[in-house]
Amino acid sequence: MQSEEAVLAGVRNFDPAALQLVYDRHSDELYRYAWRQLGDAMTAEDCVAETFTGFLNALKQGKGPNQYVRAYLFQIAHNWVVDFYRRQPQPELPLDLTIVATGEADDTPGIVARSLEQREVIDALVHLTDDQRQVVILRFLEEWSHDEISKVMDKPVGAIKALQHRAINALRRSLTGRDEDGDEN
Amino acid sequence: MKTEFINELDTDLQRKLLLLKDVPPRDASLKARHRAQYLTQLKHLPAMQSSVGLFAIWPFSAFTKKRFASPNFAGKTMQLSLGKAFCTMALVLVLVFSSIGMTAYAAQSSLPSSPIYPLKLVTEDIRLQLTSNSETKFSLILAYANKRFEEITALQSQGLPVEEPVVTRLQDQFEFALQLASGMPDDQMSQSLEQLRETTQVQLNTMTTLRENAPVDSGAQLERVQEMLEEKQNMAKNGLEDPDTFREDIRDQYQNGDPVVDPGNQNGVGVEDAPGQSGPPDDQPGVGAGQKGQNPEQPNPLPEPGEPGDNGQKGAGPGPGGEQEPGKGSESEPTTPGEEVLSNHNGFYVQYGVVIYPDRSNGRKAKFEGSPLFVP
Repeated sequence: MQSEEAVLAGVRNFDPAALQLVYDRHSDELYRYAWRQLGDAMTAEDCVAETFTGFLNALKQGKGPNQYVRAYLFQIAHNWVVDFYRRQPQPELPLDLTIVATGEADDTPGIVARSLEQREVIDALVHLTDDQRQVVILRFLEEWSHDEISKVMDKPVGAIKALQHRAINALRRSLTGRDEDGDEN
Repeated sequence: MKTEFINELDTDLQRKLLLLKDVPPRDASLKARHRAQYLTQLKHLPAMQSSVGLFAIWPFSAFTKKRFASPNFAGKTMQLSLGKAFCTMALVLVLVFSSIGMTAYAAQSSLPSSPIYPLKLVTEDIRLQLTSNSETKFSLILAYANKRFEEITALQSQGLPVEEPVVTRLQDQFEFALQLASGMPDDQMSQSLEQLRETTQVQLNTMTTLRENAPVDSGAQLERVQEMLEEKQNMAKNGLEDPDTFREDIRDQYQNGDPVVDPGNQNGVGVEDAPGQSGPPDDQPGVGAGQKGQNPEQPNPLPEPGEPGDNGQKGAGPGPGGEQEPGKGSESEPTTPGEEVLSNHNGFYVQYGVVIYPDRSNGRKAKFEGSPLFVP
């Protein structure tokens, strides 16, 4: 497997093999990242497709990743999601809820309930600030370290931790109705 | 599935967020279509660039600096180091050569009293050495003769003494110009000799003024310059009147042991052995020491470098008017004890690659060796 450094060098040189590898290596996780914020497979696919288009356009303009291809792609996807929600006057969840297969094929009520809960969590995420949402998803769902998140968001680690703290409090209030001390709102 | 970070959250929040851990699988056909679109876009990218371009090793451009800035970027860090090393070396070389070039440039306007003056002579010699066309070489040597004369006038105007080496070099250059002219076809020779005659005339005209204002201690040198100029001018006139006789005179003068004086290329006639070894042809016995002659009117300015191998063995043959003055100098005059023996190259002492002094004092003879600076 090619190292990140080698891939970056290939990307910088417009090496088709390296660029193809970038797509194959990161498109799935970008899709997950997008879906977790958008809650819709088609929209998430659009996000992925446009993320890679933006990536190639940046390269053609002499821009592109300086150090981390992955972080650069996630930043493009994040901006796309932000723009997506800003284009809509009210944060609005897609109408067609996606049923996530869990292996419990005969548990249709459970699946529906689970999907509704997913919608609830996504809705809570959408109501966070852009930065808070990104931190929560990258930290707790993509399992990125604070250092990695600080790179993709171009903020110091301390700021990331502060964002995380505020995001968790906001999510807790939104999803559980309690504050940090356990007191109900 | 890793959940270590999510464990930082309280249970309720964990459970909620874990609902988003499972993401519905991508539509395979949609994924394939988007991938195909992406690959199509790749074809419209610029052609693949060389990975060893200037930007890949140039550490100072914004592009490369950003690109290779990561300390964790081991591979590129090494490339950056190599690039820096290469650039540092290149910069050092540029600085060294530019310093040499600037010094050489500065030397062009230096006077014999300047420490960088020898560099001026070396650069002149190199240029002369690199010139193969005889006409160009003739023009060059006349230009250098003019430079020597300008140096003499500059020294005079500054109240500085005119040192022997400058006069000697001026004489060498005129002699070489005459030899060059003698080897040319008649029409070219006439043209060149006329040019030489005019040059000497201009210098002689200036000499009158110079000698009037000369300090006492420079009078002898200036007188010698004037005599030399008159002599060379007469030779040029003779050549213009009777080219064949002129050629014969030149041939006789320089083939009989008197070397061809090419300050820039002394690898031909008159090449001697190493200092201290047997000198020029044995058919010139005992006359070479004339160059060491100590003329009371022209104090030998060359005691410092010693007289390498100059115990009469390496003296040049008796050139026209080059005979040693009686009682002045001796062919057996030893090298000054304790003086450092320097290499004798091109009639100049060369130490550590630097021309120090001409190796003669009476200005009539020159002993030349192939210069280590130019010999392959």
